[in-house]
Amino acid sequence: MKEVFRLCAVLTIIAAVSAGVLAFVSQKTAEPIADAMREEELQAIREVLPPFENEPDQDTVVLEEAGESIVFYRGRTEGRITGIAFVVTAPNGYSGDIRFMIGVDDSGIVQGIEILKHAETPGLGAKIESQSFRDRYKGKSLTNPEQWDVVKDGGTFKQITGATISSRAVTHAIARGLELFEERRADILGPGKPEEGATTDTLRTHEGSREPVEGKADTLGKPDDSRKPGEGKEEPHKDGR
Amino acid sequence: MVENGEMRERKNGEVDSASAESGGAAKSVSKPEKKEKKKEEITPRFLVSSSPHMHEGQTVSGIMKLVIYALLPVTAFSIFMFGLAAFRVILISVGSALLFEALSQRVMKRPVSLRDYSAVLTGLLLALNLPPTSPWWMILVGTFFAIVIGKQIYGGLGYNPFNPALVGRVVLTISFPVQMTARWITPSMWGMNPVTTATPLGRIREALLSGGQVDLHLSRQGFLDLLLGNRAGSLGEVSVILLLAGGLFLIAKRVITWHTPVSFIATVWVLTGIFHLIDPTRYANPSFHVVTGGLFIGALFMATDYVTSPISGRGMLIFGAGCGLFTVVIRLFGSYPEGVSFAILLMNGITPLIDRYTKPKVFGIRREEKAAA
Amino acid sequence: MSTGKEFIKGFWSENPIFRLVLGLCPTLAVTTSAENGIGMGLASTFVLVCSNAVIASIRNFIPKKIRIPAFIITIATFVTIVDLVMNGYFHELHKSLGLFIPLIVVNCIILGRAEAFASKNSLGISIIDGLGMGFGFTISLVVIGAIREVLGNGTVFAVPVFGSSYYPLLLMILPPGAFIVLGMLLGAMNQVEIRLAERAGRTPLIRKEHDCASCAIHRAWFNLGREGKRPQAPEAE
Repeated sequence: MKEVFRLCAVLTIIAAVSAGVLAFVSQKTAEPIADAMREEELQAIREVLPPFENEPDQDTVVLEEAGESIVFYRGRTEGRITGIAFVVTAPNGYSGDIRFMIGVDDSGIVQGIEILKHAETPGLGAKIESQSFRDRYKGKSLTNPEQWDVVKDGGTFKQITGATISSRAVTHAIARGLELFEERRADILGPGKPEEGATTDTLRTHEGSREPVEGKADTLGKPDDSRKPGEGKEEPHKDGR
Repeated sequence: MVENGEMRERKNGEVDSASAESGGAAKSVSKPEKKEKKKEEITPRFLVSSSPHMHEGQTVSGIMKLVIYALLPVTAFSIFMFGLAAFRVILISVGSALLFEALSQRVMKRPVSLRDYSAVLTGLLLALNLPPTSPWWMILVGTFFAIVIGKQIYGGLGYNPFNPALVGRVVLTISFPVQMTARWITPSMWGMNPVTTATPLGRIREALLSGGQVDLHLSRQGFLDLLLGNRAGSLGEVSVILLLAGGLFLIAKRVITWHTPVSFIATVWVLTGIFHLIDPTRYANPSFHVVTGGLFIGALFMATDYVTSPISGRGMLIFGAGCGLFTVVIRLFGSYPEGVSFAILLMNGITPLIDRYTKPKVFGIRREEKAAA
Repeated sequence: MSTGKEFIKGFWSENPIFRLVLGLCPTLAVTTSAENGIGMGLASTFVLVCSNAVIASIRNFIPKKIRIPAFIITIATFVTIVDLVMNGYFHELHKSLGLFIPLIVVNCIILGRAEAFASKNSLGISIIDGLGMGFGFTISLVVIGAIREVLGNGTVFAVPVFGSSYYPLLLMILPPGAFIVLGMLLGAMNQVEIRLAERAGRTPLIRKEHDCASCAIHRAWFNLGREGKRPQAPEAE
C-alpha cells in the first residue's frame, strides 16, 4: 500500500512540474504564435491584393452564402477600399477541394490568386500553385472574357497539360467567386450594414475583428447556425446559377 | 511474363540443374520443399517416379524466347500503328535494359547473364507498357528501376519479389505523370498522322470528375475498335486480339497456365458488371473495362511471371482474383485511370503468403498426420 | 568509456537510423527536403538532450515500476515546448513538419536512449550521448532529405542544382522514395562497414550473411532453424 502511494506521489510530482513548465512556455509563446498565424494570413492577402495601407484582417465583412460564411478582407489606400480578398473553394478538383484566395479590386478585376490548400496530383494538378498558372487570371473580370472556361471547353484560359480537371475547377471557382462579388458588392464595399429587407444575408463582422462594424452588434460573433429557420429556405434560389 | 525458367525445369523433377543454361543455373540453389510442392500439381504428363529423371530440354533462355515470340505480333503491330516512334521506344528500352543488366552484374560481381534473354524480355515488356511519345531519358529511368532496383538489388533473376517491368512502369507513372498520362496519340498507319488524345479510360474518368456527359454505352463498332487496337494507349496494350493470340500460344506451349489470366479477367468483368448494373450512368460496360487499358497484356504476360506469382493452380486463381479486385477498385475509385500495373504489383507482394496457404499436401500424408508432424 | 567515444558512436557505430534502425516514422515521413531533415533532426536533438539530462539527474528518484510513464511525461513535455516554440518562431518550418513534431514523443530513439542510457548514467555523459545521437540522427535525416530533394525536386536546400530542363523524379519525394533511399543507404553503409572491418581486421558490426536467406519468411518457408541455415547446395544432395 505504501509502495502504491509512493509511486503515485512521484508520478504526480513529475506531472505537476511538467504542467507548470508547459503553462509557462505556453503563456510565453501565445503571442508569437498568434502573430505568426496572422502574418501567414496577411502574407496570402498581400500576395493577391495591390499594395494597401491598412490591416485587411482587421477590416473585414462576413457574408453568408449557401450556408457558408465567407470573410472578405478589405485593403484600403487613403481610406478608400482598393482591393478585396476572399477565400473560395473549388469542390471539383481532381482529388478533393481546392481552397484558394482571390484578390479583386473594387471594380471586380482579379488582382491575383493564391492557392491555400489542395490535394492534386504532384507534377500534374499541383501545378495550379505555379506562378505562371496563377498569372493567367490576373487582370480578368467577369465580363472579360465572356466565357470563363478552359481552352479545351471553348474558353480562353489555357489549361495545364494533363491537368484539365484541376484547371477547370479553379477557373470555374474563380468565376463563381467573381459572380458572388458582383452580386454582393454593395454589402462588401459598404460600411457593413445589411440592405433593408435582405432576407438571406446575415451580415456581421469577422469574429477576430477588433473594430466591430457599427450597428451589427446583435449578430456579432454568433455561430453560423444561429440563423432563423426561415432564412435558410430562401437560400437555394440565391445560389441558383 | 515469364522470367524464371528454373521453376519450370524443376516441374519435371529434374535433379541435375547444372545442365540448365546460363543465369538460371547459377542461381539454382536447391529448394527441397518447393520441388516437392511442384511435383503435386503439374501438367498431366507428370508421373511420380524415382530418379534418374530425364531433362525435358526446357531452359531459361528457351522460355524467355518463347515469350518474346509470343509478343512479336503485338510488337510488330505497335510499330505499324505508331510508326518509328514505337520502334524507337522499343530499341532504347531493350538496349538499355541489356546495358543495365550487364553493368549491375559486373558491379555486383555476378556472372553476366545477358544470354538468358530475361533482360531483353523485361526491356520489351516495359517498352510495350509505355506511350509511343516517351522521351528517351524517361525510358532509361524506367529500365534502370526495372533492372537494377526491381531485380538485381534483390539478387537477380529468380529472387525479385516484384515484376521488374512493372516496377519500371509504375515508377514512371508516378514520377512523370505528364509524359505518362497526358501525351497519348491515336494510332494511324505507320504513325503518319498522330493526334494527341486521351486513352478511353482516361476520358471516362475525366468526364465523370468534371460532371460532364460520358458515353458509357459501348457500340459494336467501338467494341471492335478496342478489340483490334484502333485506340490510344501504350504500345503493346492496344491490340487485344494479338495479345490473346500470343497468350494462347504460350498456354499451348505450356509456358503459362490458364489460371491467372482467366481469373484476373473474369474478376474484372464480374465486378465492373455489378457496378454497371447498379448505376449504368456512372460505371461503364464491363466488356469495355475488359478490353481497354492494359488488362490483357497484364493478365497474360505480367501476372503469369513465374518468379513473382504463386506456384499452385489454386494460388494462381486467388492471385488473379486479387489482381482483378485491385484493378477495379483503382479504375473506379482511385486517382489513376488505370490500375492493372498497381494491382499486379500489390498481389506480387502477397504472393509468398498465397503460396504458404495454398501449399498442396505431400502425397501420401493424411491431413491429421501432417498436422501432427 | 571515454567522452569522445560516447559522442562519436551516434554517427557511425550506433547511428540511430542506419545502425539501430530506430525512429523510422519521422525518417520516412518528413525527409522530403534537406531543410525538413535539419528541422526535424534539431528538434529531436533538443528533446533528446533535454530528456536525457532530466532523466539522468532524477534517475535515482524514479521507482523502477513507473519509469516508463515518467520518461514519457518528461519527453512529452519537451516535445510540447518544441512544438510551441517552433510554431511561434519558425512558423513555416512548423507548417511543413506538421503532425510529425508532436510525434517526436513516440520516436523510439528518444525513449530508447532514456531507458538504455540516461537512466543508468550520470548527467554529463547522458548529455553527451544525447548530443551524439541527436547529431547522428540529424545528419542521417539531412542526407536522406538531400538525396530525395535533389532527385525529386532538382534542388538542395531549395537551391536548384540542375537546369530547368530537368524533369524531377517525383517518386523520390513521395513516400516510396523514402523507402528506396533509406534501403539504398542502409545497404551502402553496410557495404562500407564490411570493407572497413576487413581492412582493420575486426568483426563487422553486421553479419555478412544478412541476405534474403536469413529472413524470417524465408526460414519459415524452408523450415530452417533460427540460425538461418542456408539451403543445401545441389551437389550436397
